[in-house]
This record gives sequence, structure tokens and C-alpha cells, in this order.
Amino acid sequence: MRRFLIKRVAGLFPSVLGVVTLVFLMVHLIPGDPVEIMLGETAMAAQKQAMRSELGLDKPIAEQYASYLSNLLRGDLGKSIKTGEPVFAEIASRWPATMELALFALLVSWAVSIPLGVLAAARRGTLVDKGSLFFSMLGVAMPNFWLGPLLILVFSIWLGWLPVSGKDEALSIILPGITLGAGVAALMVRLTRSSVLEVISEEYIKTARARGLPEWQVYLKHALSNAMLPVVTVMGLQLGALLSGAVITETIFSWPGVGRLMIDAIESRDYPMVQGCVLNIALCYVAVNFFVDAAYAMIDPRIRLER
Amino acid sequence: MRFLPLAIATLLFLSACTRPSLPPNTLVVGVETGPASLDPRYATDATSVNVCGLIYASLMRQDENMEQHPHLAQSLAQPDPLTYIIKLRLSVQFHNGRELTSADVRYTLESILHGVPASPLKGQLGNVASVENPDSFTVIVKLKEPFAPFAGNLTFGIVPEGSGDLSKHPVGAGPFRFASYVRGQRLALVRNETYFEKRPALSGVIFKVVPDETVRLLELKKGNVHIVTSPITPAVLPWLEKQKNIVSLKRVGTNVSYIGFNLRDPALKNLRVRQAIAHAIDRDAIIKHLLKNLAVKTETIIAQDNLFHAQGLAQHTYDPEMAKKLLDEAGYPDPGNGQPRLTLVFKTSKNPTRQKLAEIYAEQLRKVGIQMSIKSYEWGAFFADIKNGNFQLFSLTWVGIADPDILRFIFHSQSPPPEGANRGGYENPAMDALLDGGRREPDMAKRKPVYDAIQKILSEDLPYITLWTSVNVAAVDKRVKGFVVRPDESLDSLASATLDAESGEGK
Repeated sequence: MRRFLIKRVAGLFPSVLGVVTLVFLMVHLIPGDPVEIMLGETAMAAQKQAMRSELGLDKPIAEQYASYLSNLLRGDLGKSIKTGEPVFAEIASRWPATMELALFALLVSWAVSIPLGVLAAARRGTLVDKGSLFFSMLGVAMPNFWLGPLLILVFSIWLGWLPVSGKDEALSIILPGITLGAGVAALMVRLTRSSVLEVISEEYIKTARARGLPEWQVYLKHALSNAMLPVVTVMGLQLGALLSGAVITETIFSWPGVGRLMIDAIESRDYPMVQGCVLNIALCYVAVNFFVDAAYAMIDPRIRLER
Repeated sequence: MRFLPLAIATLLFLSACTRPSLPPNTLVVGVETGPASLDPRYATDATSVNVCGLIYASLMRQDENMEQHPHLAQSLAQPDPLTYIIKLRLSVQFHNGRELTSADVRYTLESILHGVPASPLKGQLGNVASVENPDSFTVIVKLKEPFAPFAGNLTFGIVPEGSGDLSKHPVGAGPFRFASYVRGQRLALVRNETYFEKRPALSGVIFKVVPDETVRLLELKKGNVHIVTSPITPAVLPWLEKQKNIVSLKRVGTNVSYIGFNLRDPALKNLRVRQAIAHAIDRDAIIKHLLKNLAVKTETIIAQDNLFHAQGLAQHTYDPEMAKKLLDEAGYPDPGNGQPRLTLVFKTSKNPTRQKLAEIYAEQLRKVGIQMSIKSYEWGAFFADIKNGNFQLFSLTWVGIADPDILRFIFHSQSPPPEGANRGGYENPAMDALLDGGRREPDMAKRKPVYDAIQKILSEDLPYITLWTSVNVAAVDKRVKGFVVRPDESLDSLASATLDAESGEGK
């Protein structure tokens, strides 16, 4: 097991380096000049030149890349061109808010999708099943930028129960959490349903039924625990998507997370900040993938035996 | 299921007890992005400039009719075209309690002129030879060459001498004092009790960052935000006007949209082609239907409230027949069979309103036989192309034009990009001479006719089609009294605004 883990960790480095390089190149190759955007149109050429050399933007791109890498190795992501703050500190200060939102969204999707999925499987072909299908179609099809304002209109403006936006109150997380979690929930309902249907025809379920257990015990105790394996795996991977895909939801709800930081950075061509944000997303994916792999290996010994 | 009522009860309880209480008499402004810098020497984005206007006091200040008045300056004399003598008000205090003197003014000017990193305001001061402060309340500025916009450009905030980076902890002498700033969330200001003019009625102002426009307006409807300013999408105006607790205030602004021509292009260097395009575009219809009257037709980029706005310019009314005739004369006759007389490429950004406008121009031009294809790019890429002269036609907006010397930046033959903005390659020796003269003329009475002549030539030469001046809109909670929308969109009137206490929640 240890050997497997070491091998997996070693395998992470090339992918991280690849991401770092790609991000650096992409950010520098897209047209648009941060100095132009920051100083405004009426600034003089000498001013722009001074700022460029101060930021190191006048050096050859290879040199900029080398210094970026060496700084990165020392854990230094550089300073934001726009605000002058260290990129690492800015991302670190926004990171908990994004994490909180992603976890809450995952929780919401869990709470909705598992009962609904099991119910749909148990009542296959009935109105309940069709209803769950309708729900998941709706959840997948409804874009966040539409669902978000709709929820605000109903729960904040008409009913007055929840805050409109921001992160000032304990309840502020509910609407963005539901908005972000809706898509995942919709997906998970279908997955849970089909997964439960798959195990329901297994021998051990027949045994459980033969023992005269009530139907809800058959489903919840025997079917669900076995059906959950693929569901949990996909959920784990969804966390990566939630962490990086919260951009729109964060914007709608004025949620002070990393997603919004990145959008602002892209608009102002804040190179170090964009690099930091994309690197952050890439690392999230790499980390989540690693943990899923490790969990798999722990559960299923056949995986770590493969060479 | 038995937990459901309990859960709802908890939810309601939490919602009742965790609502943060705003200090009384504090006004909340909903903004799209937070300020990037709170140092007036480096503030460039709209929110930064507006916030700095409340925190800092400036030598001169523009009123709601775009007229300049002394603010920190008590008087401003100009004994000769190169010398400005500024006498300061006595007993003005910074928020830290220190008295504001000529040393602070000198420091501010010098740090704009020589500071590192360079201040974007540097160009506004012209060619300064020296700044002196012979006594505590007198500042003498000498220029190397006459620069008429100098006095009018002294509207930036004065900072305390020796203050380094003020972008996070600003100290000024304006009506409001900095309290706190959580980046990306909210900025709080409190009243300056020792303000040298009338003490503000509001005890504080909060700038709440709500990036999404719809949500910003919903916060306003809910009563959590009291003022939302431009940009407000024209399409939401009818909804705004139906809200009982909201009033929308309007005022013609200083942002002017235009279509720029590349005069190096063989077709577009022909004046008749440019005139034909101008006559083919139905601005009245666009303003009425697409912009919901949030714009006013204009023939010059100097806004109508500006003292330098010229009258009697060449008019380019919608006249498709005239456009066709002009194209005939220009050597682009109708080839028949539905073939176009002329094909052009129009570049624009990804902004949805701009894309929609581009489609309308294309359709209107098609009716006179010009086939115009649209290429839209992400802002950075679009702007890079425009600066490099890599375009035939494009559309943009000049924002916040105050002094007409900007015309030199845009139309002088010696002002090409990257330093200048003569992107279309317009060249006219008479225009160059007038622009140079206008910059040097200190006497307002003599300066005005110079810019009248300049605007007249521009309306005839048509290096641009000036389309319209946008109307600034502010959606304001009815409890707010005394807030005025200004042409330059400044929020200075918050210093004299009040907020009624009764609940204005509009359900």
C-alpha cells in the first residue's frame, strides 16, 4: 500500500508542472496588456514603460517563466499586479469561503439525491420515478445564473426568509448552496437510482426479503450500502468540480470566494493572480483524484496490485 | 419528516437573530466591484475615484453643473500663463487631526509627478517646472509651457505629506473618514466630524460589492442597499419604475459613444463614404427602442453640460436616400442583383449591448448597399487591435470627458497610439494648429471659440461618427433625500444627503 501511494504521489509532479507551464503560457499569450488596463488610456508611454519594467514584464518570456518557477518552488506565487497583495495570501483568505460553499452544496445534493434516488428505484415506473426524472432533467438543464436570482426572488424578496446576497449571516450560505448543489443533485439522483436498481436483483437482497425484513429495511440497510460505492466515488470527483465551478454562483450571490477573485483577475489581466487561481483549481483536482484513488485502493486490494 | 417543522423553525429563528444590524443613519451603495486603490494618486476605476472623492478633499471641485470651484484652495491666481498661485483655506484638518498645509499640497503634486510607481494622473498636470511653498498656505506652480487645462485638473485628493502607500489605509480631509475594507465585500466610511465644510448628515456610507446587476437591484428592492448607480441595463428600467420604494434619477452624462473610422483604408478615407455611413444609421430609433432613451443624440464628444460643448455643428440625420446618393458620388454605385456596393468589417467587444448595436448598424447599412460583417472579441484582444490600427470600423465610448484638451489626444496628427489615441490616422494641419492653440490659451473667453471651431471641423471631417451621450441613471431608495446624479457620476452629493428612518421595504 505504501509503495502504491509513493508511486501515485510521484506521478503527481509531472501533471502539476504541466499545468503550471500551460497556465503561464496561456496567460501570457492572450492579447491584452495589464499595464494598459491599469494605468488607463491617457497614461504616458514613459509611465507604462516604468511600470512594465517594475513588474518584470519587459523581460523575455523564458526569463519570466524561469523566475516564476523558481519563486513557485519557494512557495511564492508573486504579488497581484492590481492590488499589490501577495497572491498566496489573497487566495488563502478567499479559499475557506469557496470550500465552505462547495461542501455545503455537496451536502445539499446528498440530502436531496440519495433519498430521491432510492425512492425512484423502489417505486420504479410510478409517478414518483417519473417525478424524480423530471427533477433531474430540470436540475441539469437549469443554469445557475437563472436559478440563483429565481431563488432570491422567492425566498428573499417574496418570503423574506433568507438574505439576498453576501456572507454576513449564518443563513447566507443556503441559497448559493442550493444553487450550486442543484446540478450535482440532479446528476446524483439518476446515478443512485440506477445503482440501487443494479443491486436490487442480487441474491443477498432476495435473501433479505426471504428473511421477512420489511421493504424499507431491505432498501436502506442492504441495497443502499452496496449501491453507494459508485455514488460516493462520483461525489468525490464532483467536489473538484464544485470547488472550481463556483465562479457563477459566487458572482450572483456576492460570495467572497476564489472564483470571483479569478474572474476579476482575468478581466484586469492580473497575470500572477490568474496563474495562482488556475493553479489552485488544478491542485484541487489533483488532490481530489489522489484521495479517490487512495480510497479505492484501500477498499479494493486488486487496484494496488496492478502494475 | 417529523424534523421538518423543527428545521423551519430553526431557520426562521436564525434568520431573525443573525441579521447584522447596520449602524443607524448609514447609507449603503451597491457597487459592481470594490475599489482597486484608495490612494487618489492611483485610483482609476469608477468606484475608486468615487470613494476617493468622499475621503479626500481636492484643491478644485466640480459641481453638479460641471463648473469648477475652489475647494481646499481659497483662491487660484494666474499672474502669467506659466505661473499658478494657489492660496489654501486655513484650519483644514486631515482625518488624523493634523492640519493641512502647503507642504501637503506640494508633496501630493510632486509624488504625482515623480512617484514610483508612476501615477496615471501625471499627464493631467502638463509640463511642470517647479512646485514651491513659500509659506504654510501658499503653493506656487510653474509650468514649462502654457497648459490651459491645469487648473481644472486639480480635482484629485490631497494626501498628507510623507504618506507612503495609502491604498489600504487612506487619510484625507474629505467629508468621510475611512473605517474598514474587506476586499471584495464591503468598504465602510464614517462621517468626518471635523470636516471643513458643512458636516455630513449621514453617519456613514457603506459600499457593498454585489457583482451581479439583477441581484444588486433585488438588494435595492429589499431595502438592504439604498443606491445603485450606472451601469444599469436599459431593459430593467420599466421594472425599476414599477417599484414603489425606488425612484430612478437621470441626468445626461459625459460618456460619449462613437464609431471610429480607419482613415488609412482606401474606402473610408473618402469623406462621402463616411458621410453615407453617418446618414445610414438611424440613431433616433436605436436610442428609443434599444437604449430606452438612456442616451441623447450628439454630434460632438464634448458632452452637452460641458461649457465647451459647441452649437451649430453639421447634423447627420437618418437619410438612407442621401446615403445612397453619397455612395454613388464616392464611386460606389449599386451593382444590382442584390450585390453590395461596398464591404466593410466592424470590430467590437463581447459586451452584449455592443454586439446587439453592431447587428443593428449592419442591418441599417445593408439597406443602403453596404455589407458590414461583425467581428467581436474579448475586451483585451479587441482593444489591442484598435490600438494597433488593425481595424476598418469600431465602436467605443469615451468616458468622463471634462477638459476639451482630450481632443488633442484623440485627433492631433502627432498623437498616434500607443502614446496618443489618434487610432484612425486623422491628419489635418488646421486642426493641429487649433488644438495646440487651445491647449495654450489661458483665457476661457478666448479658449471657447477655439474649441467651437475644432468641434465644427470634426463634425464636417467626420473622423468619428459621434453617436450619443449616455444618460446616467441611479436607482435610489425613496428614503434617501438630497442625492443628486451628476454628469461625471461622482457621489459627492452624499456629503449632503440624508436617509429617513422609516422602513422602506417594498414588498
